[in-house]
Amino acid sequence: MAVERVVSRILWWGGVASLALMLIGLIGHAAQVGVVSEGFEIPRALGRGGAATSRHVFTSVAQVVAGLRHRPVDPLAVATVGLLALLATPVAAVVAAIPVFLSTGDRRYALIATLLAVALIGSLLLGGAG
Amino acid sequence: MGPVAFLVALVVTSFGAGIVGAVLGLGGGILLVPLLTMVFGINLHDAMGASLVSVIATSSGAAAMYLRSGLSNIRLGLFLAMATVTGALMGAALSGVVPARILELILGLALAYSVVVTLRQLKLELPETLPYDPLAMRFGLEGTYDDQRLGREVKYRADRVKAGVAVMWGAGMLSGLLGIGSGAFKVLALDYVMRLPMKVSTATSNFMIGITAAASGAVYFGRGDINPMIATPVALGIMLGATVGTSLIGRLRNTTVRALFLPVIVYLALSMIARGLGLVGS
Repeated sequence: MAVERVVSRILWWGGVASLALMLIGLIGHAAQVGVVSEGFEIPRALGRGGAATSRHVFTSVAQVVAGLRHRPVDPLAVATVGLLALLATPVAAVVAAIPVFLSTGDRRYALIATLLAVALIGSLLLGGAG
Repeated sequence: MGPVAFLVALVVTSFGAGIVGAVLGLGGGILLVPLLTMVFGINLHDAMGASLVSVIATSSGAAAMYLRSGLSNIRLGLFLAMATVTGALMGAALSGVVPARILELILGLALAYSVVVTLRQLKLELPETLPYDPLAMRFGLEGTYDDQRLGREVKYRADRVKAGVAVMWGAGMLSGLLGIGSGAFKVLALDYVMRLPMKVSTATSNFMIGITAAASGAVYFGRGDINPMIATPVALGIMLGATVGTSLIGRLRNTTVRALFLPVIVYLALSMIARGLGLVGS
């Protein structure tokens, strides 16, 4: 049950931490611009093109880092860190399973987990999150 | 609708989708996308991005619980995730070029199929004998779990592994294409094709949903389809709803709950198919 315990802990705490960051970012954004002002835009595209047109949407890690370095910090960049952490949570769980499989002598599943981890990390990097 | 009312409505709706999804064992994504597009008028790609994020959040919580209880088979999940991740990457790449109407039609059909799977779950039994499949033997696709209702330990082993892998690839493709967890299709592969016990199928499917969605999530992020203003309230609502729904399952009779909620899913499926076919306005 060692591998189940390790993977289970990463999934649970990764999910909780990610949601907390997303919530902090959204509340921070509301506090910064005021929930009743025009600044708190709900970027509903309503059929007029994709969400990439919204100024609230980050499409690369570089943009997120710029938002975090900005003073005052862009709260939506914090929310996006939470989103990225959530995407990375299952990947981290798969990566963490590799040494546990190796330590129990299960080389076959260590290899399967490694192949999966490579595919998932590759998708993170190629998909724009890198 | 003002911004605050809009956000509250998003959380409440996602909470409802989380409860219904957990009770019906479908996950919430397949219900969320039609609700976000049809009720809130949210752009289809925004809705799919928010759904994908919420699917990972829900899967992380549920999978953690199922892994601890021993219901989720981690080796089986990782073995089959190789097929779903490959399918999901292809689906996510295609979702950027396939027209919205076609996506709506596919989602409507997937939703209709989920109804069939839900109906099938009403009369499920445990496989009586352990099957012999060379791949299952080689990769150790077997296990045991304590069935509290039956009051005994149940042994199981996967059957028809190659066919299961093929269906899993299709499930991954749908997940990437539509931004859903495609839990109904993963359960189909595990339970119907590979003849695994229903509880193991549902729990293992839940573990795999997060891994599959993470593969396509990066593609959605890079395309700008994951909007924190929509994804955050949706993920929060659906995770809370799924928690409540999971605790409700034990207290409610499955047949009663399914009879109450199935008409809602049928309505959503028909609406999405009608939109996809251009019978009603998008």
